[in-house]
Amino acid sequence: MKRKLLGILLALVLVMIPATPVLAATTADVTLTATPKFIAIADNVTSYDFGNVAESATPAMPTAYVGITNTSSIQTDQTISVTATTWAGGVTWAHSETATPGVDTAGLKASDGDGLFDIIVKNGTPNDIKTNLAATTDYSYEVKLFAPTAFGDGIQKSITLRITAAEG
Amino acid sequence: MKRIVVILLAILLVGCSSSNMSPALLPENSRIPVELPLTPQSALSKLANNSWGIFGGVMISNYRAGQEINREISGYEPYYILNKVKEVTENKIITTEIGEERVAVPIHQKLYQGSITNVISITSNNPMDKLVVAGYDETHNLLIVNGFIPATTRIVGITYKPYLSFYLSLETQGRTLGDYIEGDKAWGSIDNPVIEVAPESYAPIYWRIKIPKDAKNIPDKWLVWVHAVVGEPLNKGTINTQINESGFSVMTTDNNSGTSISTSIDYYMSIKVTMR
Repeated sequence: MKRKLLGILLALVLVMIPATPVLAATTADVTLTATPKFIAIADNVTSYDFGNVAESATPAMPTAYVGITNTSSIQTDQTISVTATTWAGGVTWAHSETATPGVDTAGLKASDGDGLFDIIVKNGTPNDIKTNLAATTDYSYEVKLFAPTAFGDGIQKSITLRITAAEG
Repeated sequence: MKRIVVILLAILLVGCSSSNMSPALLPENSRIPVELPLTPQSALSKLANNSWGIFGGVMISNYRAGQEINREISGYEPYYILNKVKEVTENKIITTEIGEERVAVPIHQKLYQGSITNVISITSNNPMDKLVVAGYDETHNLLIVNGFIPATTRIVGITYKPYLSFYLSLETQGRTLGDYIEGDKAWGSIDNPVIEVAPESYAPIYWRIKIPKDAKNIPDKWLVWVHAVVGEPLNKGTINTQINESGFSVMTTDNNSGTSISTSIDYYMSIKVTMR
């Protein structure tokens, strides 16, 4: 009897052991989730004219001259930069990445509505003007020009100032 | 003998319990699209007039090198460009020659529907000009304008309803977001890198991710940025017209001394990926 029982158990063991699963996945799922976010800002000023500037002059926009309406639904970081390395028009001005004027070299500094002009406006590696800005929070800024120490001509110069908003 | 029976029974029980394990991974919860509290349409309605924005936000989990995520395979919810720019004003200096009364004036954005009925206004600071838009050259993006006084220079202002051209790319910015660090932007791409969007409309941004199977040093959690910017103006420097760089309004650049700044806006939104 015992032998018969032992035989049955051995047979069951032999049947079950090969049935133990091989742990190789036959599917490779990727989970995608979509979380709607919305980034949008608008400025109330699309251009500013410093007018005729003297050599080494430092004219500035009035404090909080440019208003940014932020309708983003998420927190954002925002930077300020210029989109070119030179100011266009006639003998172009180089844009200084340190806001240090020179011969046909101009610079810009900005501040976020406090008139301190403590943010250098660069072309490469833009500086932050607002970090961790809460959703739907507006702000304003102003910019100061550091005019060249000497001009190559009297033709108007222009450059584009860019605000970049990124999920923060 | 009893001991042998107990051991065999134990082996049997272990075998039975392990046979209940699933050989495959359980299906993942693919929540695409999720219940969106905010739709592109509702986000569009929140936009300020004459503004634009970006909408979306996709997170990828259980990813491994060699897999491809794209709209054909994955059917994900895309990002969207939202456009509420209803009109654009461009100011240009135009000098006519002797006998010249008709001028082809380049404009920066494409005219909505290619129809001159979408030119809202055209003005000249020379009261002698009687300007009328007679046609539109869609290929070269030129407005054909009659009524110029010959041999004169004036500033012409044109306000029109545009399609706005957006330039899209996957980018890195050199910054992290929480515990996600930037990956290689070459691990993905945008299917439709230039999109023209009509006013009061939105359009999908389709992207794909595929890391080469043999890629090294992949962070456990990485991201890449979807970057959107309004197309830069082309410097079409004909007929003494100079177009400045700007998102929406194009400033006059004239030969008077002075210094001017125009403004524009661009956006970054993340695609976050967690490796298996």
